[in-house]
Amino acid sequence: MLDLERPFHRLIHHFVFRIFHGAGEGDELQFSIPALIGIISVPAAFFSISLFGKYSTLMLYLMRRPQFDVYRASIPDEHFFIVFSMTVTGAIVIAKWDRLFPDRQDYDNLAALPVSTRQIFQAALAGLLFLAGLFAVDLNLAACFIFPLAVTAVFNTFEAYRTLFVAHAAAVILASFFACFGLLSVMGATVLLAPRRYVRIVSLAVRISCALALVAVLASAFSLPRLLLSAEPPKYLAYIPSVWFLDLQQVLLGRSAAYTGSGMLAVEITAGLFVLSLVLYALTYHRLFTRIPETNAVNAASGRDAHSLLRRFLDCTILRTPFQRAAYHFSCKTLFRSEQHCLLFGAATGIGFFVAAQYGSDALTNSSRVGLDHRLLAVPLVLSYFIICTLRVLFDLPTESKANWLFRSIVDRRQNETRVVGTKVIVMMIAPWLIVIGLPLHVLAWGWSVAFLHTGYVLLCSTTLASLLLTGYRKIPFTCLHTASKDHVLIMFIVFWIGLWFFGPLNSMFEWWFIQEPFRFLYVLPLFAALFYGVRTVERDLHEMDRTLIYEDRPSANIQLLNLTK
Amino acid sequence: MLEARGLKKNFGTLLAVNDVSFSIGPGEILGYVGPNGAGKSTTVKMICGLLEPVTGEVLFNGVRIHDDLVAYKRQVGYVPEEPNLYPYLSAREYLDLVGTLRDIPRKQRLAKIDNLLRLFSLYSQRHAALSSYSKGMRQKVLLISGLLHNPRVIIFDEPLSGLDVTSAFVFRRLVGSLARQGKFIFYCSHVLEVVEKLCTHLLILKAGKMVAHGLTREVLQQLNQPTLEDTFAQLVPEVDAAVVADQIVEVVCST
Repeated sequence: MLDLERPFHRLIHHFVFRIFHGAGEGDELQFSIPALIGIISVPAAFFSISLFGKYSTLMLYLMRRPQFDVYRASIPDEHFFIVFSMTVTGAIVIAKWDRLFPDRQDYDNLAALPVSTRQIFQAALAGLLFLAGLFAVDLNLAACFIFPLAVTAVFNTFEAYRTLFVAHAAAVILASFFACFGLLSVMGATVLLAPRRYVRIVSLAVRISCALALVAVLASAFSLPRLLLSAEPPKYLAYIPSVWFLDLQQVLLGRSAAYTGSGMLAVEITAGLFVLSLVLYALTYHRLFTRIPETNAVNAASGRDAHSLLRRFLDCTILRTPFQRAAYHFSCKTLFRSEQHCLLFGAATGIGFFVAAQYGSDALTNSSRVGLDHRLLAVPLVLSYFIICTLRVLFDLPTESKANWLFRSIVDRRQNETRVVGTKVIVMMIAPWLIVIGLPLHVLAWGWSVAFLHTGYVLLCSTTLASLLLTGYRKIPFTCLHTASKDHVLIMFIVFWIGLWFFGPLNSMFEWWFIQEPFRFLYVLPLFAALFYGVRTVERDLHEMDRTLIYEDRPSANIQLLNLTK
Repeated sequence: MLEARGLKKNFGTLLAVNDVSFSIGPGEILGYVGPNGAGKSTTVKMICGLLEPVTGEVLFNGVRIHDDLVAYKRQVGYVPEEPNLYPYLSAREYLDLVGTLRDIPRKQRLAKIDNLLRLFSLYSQRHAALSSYSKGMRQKVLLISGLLHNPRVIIFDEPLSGLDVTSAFVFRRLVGSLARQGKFIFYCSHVLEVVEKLCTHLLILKAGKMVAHGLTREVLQQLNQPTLEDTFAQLVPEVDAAVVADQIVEVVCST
């Protein structure tokens, strides 16, 4: 146990807690350790409970499957638990990427104290390993008890339960360590190999790539079970990390390692990654932390004084007022320079890309139509939908809260052009790739007329959706403290997925119908015109108080004191 | 005696500090002044033990500080220029962390923290997160953290930054009182008036090099100037303040 009166133990305690607190102020995406421990333990527990039906003796009897091999049947579930363990651990590491190493704030506060840099390193590492262990156990604890109970209920012996408990616990906890140490190694290598000037940008790109890789790993939980249960599993399964841990579990159950031929591969690779991450952590610490006072003095960044041609073009054409120009450029710079925003935008767009690619590959592999397939038309619509919705949510997520005094002191609160600015930011995130990459591909696939119609239709739908989502919006993106809408995350999440179906697949079917006879587009134009008119009317009819710019979005109290006696 | 001998430090091609030497005896206050980029902060970091000089050395009581840096840091109280504190901790939690890492016994530590918070007028906000503190309040927290362990050497880097008039007045008295206790005080500041009144010794730095060093009144006498401000202007004549001010007004008022 930690004795907090001992300096070194106190230092470990400090590093454990600092990882889960933002370095700055106004960090809207913070979770405390207890909250996170509570949240991450729930899904695996619920999933395990839901499996009781699958393995219950009564169900097996009713389904007339007395010879049911529960161990074989549990392979997809075991694989899911392994993937879940890896994904959640990986997501936490990526989310806390910047806080895993001691940083300048630690240097400023700790370096002058009588603790050596070696002790700071050891305490930071001990804190990190403690958290890795804590989350690996917490994430899987409930499932470790419940899942073996569900699977081995049919045997009615403690020995069967104990064996599966050990095998399952070893596989999922080791999978969690694998993800943690693997990502730490990637992170350390990135910081070590990237040129000092580009560490931040390279690190961000690697984080986004890792987040996308995690999405792919999670997706494998749904795509691999069929292959895992096939009579002759494909050879490439042996290269998939989650399968290594599945083999480990099978070997610990006394069965054969059917996919890799070795149950110990997972152990060996995890041990290797552990050592590698320790070495890289030490080297990175040396490069980053101990050299902070040296780097402090030579932080001269180069920059250009001239505005780019693109910026000048936008200022002359699209951005009509000084407010629009200032707010637009501020929004774009914040989106790409704030790590938190850039990471979330990159990850959500990446998921959108995966989903869109899924539609595309479905259309190409299972083509049921001759000629144009509506699933291919859905690809840019789905990607645009993810970009629009992500940006709409991110606009409400504030950046450095202290900085918004600038807008508070300069901007006239009644001059609300934020919907227009927000829409332009969103459309400018869609139009470039749609025109530069999408349009030539569409021309190649379907010819000029269909390509132009499709591109125009996607842009029109995107602009309309952005305008609809921003109706009544009265915040300069990224400047508003507290977001009342974050209290309705679950509802937003459900609405998002329903909306995806409307905007992507269903919309693409309509579009397919229009494209068959292009004059049919004439039917749809009044609809869009009506939507735009509706948005303007709603905004015009708003009370003046609901139109002025706000910098704090506090939810109204559920109970209000009227003070009628006064 | 705290001694710096021939300190030299460069960052790549930039020579930040070049051949700087001084000594501070018990009860002495060395005022360390110079324009921006003169090498003041680099010197502060070297005498705190945060940076190692390329050549030269820092000695405390005749022993090189880098021979046993941790032992030296136990005797040093450092008040940095920038209050980059952990925003999620309260003042009391922060000071408790610092006190624990300095290995001050619990009972003594907590009593000292509460007393100092009271004396610095922070006691009523002791449980509030540091993120809600004003710059002056954070500066007070830094001052307490630098003095909590009764250090022998105290290094102030712009300590008046953000302090209100009353606190600044108390602080000036405090520095004098600490010197009378026999502390070695290194005082780095841009507020020349305070340096002139407070410091027994003076060192003026320009582009990393010493341009004047000695007893404060002797430096003023040698250069035949009535105030430190005039002395500074004579020794570091980088810009004509009146001309630059006029040029700024010209730019501001231009259409």
